Amino acid sequence: MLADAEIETLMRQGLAGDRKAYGRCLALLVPRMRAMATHDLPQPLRHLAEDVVQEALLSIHLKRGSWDSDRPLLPWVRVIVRHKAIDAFRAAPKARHEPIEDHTGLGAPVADPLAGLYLEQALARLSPRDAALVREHAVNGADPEALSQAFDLSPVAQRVALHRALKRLAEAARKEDEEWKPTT
Amino acid sequence: METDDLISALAADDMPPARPHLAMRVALGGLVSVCLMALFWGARPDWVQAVQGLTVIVKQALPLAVAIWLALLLRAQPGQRRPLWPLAGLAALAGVGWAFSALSGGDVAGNSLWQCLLSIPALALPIGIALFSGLRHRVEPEAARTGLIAGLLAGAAGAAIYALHCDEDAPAFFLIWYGSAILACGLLGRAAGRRLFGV
Repeated sequence: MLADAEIETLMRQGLAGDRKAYGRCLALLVPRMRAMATHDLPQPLRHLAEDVVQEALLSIHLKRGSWDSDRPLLPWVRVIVRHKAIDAFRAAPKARHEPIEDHTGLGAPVADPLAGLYLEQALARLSPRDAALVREHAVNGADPEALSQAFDLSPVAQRVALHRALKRLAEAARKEDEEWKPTT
Repeated sequence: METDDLISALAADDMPPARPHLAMRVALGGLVSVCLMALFWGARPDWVQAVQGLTVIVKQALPLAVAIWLALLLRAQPGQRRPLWPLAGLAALAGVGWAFSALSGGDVAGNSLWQCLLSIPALALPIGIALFSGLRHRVEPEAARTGLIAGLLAGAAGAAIYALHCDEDAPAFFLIWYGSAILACGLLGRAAGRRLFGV
């Protein structure tokens, strides 16, 4: 595993505007956050770990400007993950969870363990344009020019639109926690 | 959506991150409050002579000291403990001082009770707005407590600024009414913090 110092350096570079370093920093943080989330959640709710990680990522992204770069990054991340895990725990239905994937032969679709359920629901709550904007960046975020044409936005307006869409996504994810209901 | 896709979307967002800049914001809010006080309330003309008396020193310095103490609490990292009992102790001490002063014939009601109770929150408002707008960008797991601290801080700073105008120098007056006004700001801040702050 990489040293914490390296992740911190990447985050500092990211804060200075290096997006590659920032993406790499988040990618390196994820396995650790996953471990934190799994540790924080009680056994029957472990399947929510990826949702916790994704919500924590959104929070890290929107609040990264408040990280005091003279201090270690991991404890700061730890606080966020723990908070999101507690949120998920509070919001989860109290009935026992019996993953349908464990019963072969029922014909249940194979669940992707790395896909977040909450985030998908939160995306569904955004306006179609916001959701599309986020998805487009997620899948082929490499070509901003093609994207700004596809959405009929100037490159600057498109940057702003993405930022706002992500903010609304975080907001929607939080609301999802408050009134989460099992999906049918 | 998979986590890797989310990371791509986040990394594609190159709007500069919002920074709290608390010290700068509070300084700006304080400046606005002082200007408002000078414009609409007016500093008391005898402030320089008055502040040489012990009670006026207390009236001026106590809210300032409380504000500084609370500002130090706000510097704590998320997850660190922020004990409020020293402040409760100070409030109890002020309560005892007030009781003494009131029982020995101090003028509790004064001439400007309502002006005091309304002016302190009004002067606290610019500082509070500045403070809250900065704290919104921070990770605040204890949203209500942060809101309480921020509200008390704005109230205490507002009281220190109002003290430049107020000429009620009886501890029986200012200990209780300044204290109540600061407390009201704190409770308002607590309610606002619960809504505005979070992780």
